Amino acid sequence: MGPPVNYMFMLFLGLGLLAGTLRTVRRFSRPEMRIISSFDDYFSMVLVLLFLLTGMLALMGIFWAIAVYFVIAALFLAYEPLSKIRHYLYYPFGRYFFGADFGRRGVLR
Amino acid sequence: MEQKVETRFTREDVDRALSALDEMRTRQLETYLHACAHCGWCNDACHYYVAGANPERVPTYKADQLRKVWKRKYDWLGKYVPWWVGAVALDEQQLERMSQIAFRDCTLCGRCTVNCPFGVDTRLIIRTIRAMITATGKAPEILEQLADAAIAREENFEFIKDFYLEQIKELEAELRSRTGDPETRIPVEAEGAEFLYVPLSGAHTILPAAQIFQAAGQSWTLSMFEAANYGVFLHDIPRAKRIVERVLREAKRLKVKEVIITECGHAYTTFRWTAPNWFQEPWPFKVRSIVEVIDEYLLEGRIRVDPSLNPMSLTYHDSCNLGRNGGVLEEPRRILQAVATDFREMSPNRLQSYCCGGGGGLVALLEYSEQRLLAGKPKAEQIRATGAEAVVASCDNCRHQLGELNEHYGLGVTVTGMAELVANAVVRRGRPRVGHGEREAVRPA
Repeated sequence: MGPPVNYMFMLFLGLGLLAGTLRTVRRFSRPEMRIISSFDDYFSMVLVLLFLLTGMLALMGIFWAIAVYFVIAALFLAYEPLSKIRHYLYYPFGRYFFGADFGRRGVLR
Repeated sequence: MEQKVETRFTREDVDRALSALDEMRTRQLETYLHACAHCGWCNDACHYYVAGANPERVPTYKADQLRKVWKRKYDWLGKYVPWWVGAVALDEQQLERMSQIAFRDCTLCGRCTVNCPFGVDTRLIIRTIRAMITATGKAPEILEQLADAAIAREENFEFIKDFYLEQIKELEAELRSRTGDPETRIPVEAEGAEFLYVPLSGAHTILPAAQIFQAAGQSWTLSMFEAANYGVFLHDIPRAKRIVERVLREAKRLKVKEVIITECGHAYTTFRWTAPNWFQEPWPFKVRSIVEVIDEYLLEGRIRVDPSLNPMSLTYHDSCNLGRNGGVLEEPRRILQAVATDFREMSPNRLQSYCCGGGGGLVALLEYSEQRLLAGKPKAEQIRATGAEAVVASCDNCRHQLGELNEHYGLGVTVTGMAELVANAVVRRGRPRVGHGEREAVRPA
């Protein structure tokens, strides 16, 4: 099937997929999560889950999965600035402001 | 999804609110509006949600009421495909919902913020909503009245000065009786004093501190103004600044080294952390809380206390603005260990302390008292779980709310303040200790 490092990646992708699926179920099933979820929130989750799934399948050598994986990766990159997925770029700045605001007050240890 | 609500807002109000929002779009605010991933981690952090499991009380839902409107105007998908991101154009209905959320459903406590993986400052977002509502002129009337009354106090001071000084004289008599020192005074307008002590409108915020200053041999003068700032609750910076300026002018005029704020949460955070940013020049004095001062007196041995004079079991409520938002976390513990024999911590405490439910000016808003008492349930349960006979809080609004929670939930506790407890435990050589009197108003209502 390939070198051992492939198994490592598959494992992590698999774990990510599991966590992501549980999170998606949480978002669908709880009222306090549904009330804060827009279409973008659900769509982003599905996109990421497909990304992880096809990544895992691609590592297994399934040819069509490799193609779909690349298409989804490209879609992900194009979609990210429009969506809440942008949080992965914005959150460090959020942490900076949080530290600047709370940290100087002697509140954080 | 949203229910239709009756509203007093008009189309012009919507435009005013949107202009106000436009002027408040700092990088800090927009970062928080962008970064929220709607993960729901803050849900269990909010006392409103913990108290009642109503999904409309989770912090993200509250912040989203601004975020949706902001996205509709300033976010690409929000502008061109609004339904995709849940963006909504601001209308009178939405403005009404925002008003209720900002003035009824959030106390600006910050517990969600310290639990957020990104540090999204929901307080700032809710304050922005408050400022938008204030810009329409239809913010809760009582807050406007209290803010304007504070400003009028300085403008009309010549007319009320004599009456105020008379009341101080009466307090002085009470102080002499309590301390057993016939020479002791409550200084007013004392130029060159080391401390300018800023009280609230109530003798209970003046007398205990005066007793402690007397015991420590402190050079001080009493401010003619109170620390409370309702401009802050409205998030009306020009008015909030004007209210702070009264004390600022007084402090500069009297050339004091430090401005000491009485036990008041929002006044401490305002004077210590946020107000200095509203002015161009740095202030020529330090700002501290009376709690920090008492802690220093005890550490330096400037006052002697006998903890057996406070034998009842006590627990401490971390006021949000003093503790989580202010940084005064360890001082109260050190003080209570020194002046009482049975001090027990609530859990959680310090940074993770639950809001009592009375913050953000909510205690003044009678129309929302039902929700405020409901939201105080986690705090009430915390107090009950300690089994303590008394709860100490260093914030007047918290004490007011805790008193109401005590009745509402049948806690059977006494609510008391830090300075009162310390004054009660102060030991003077060869002088009899006298008990303390009741709360009374000092100045005209």
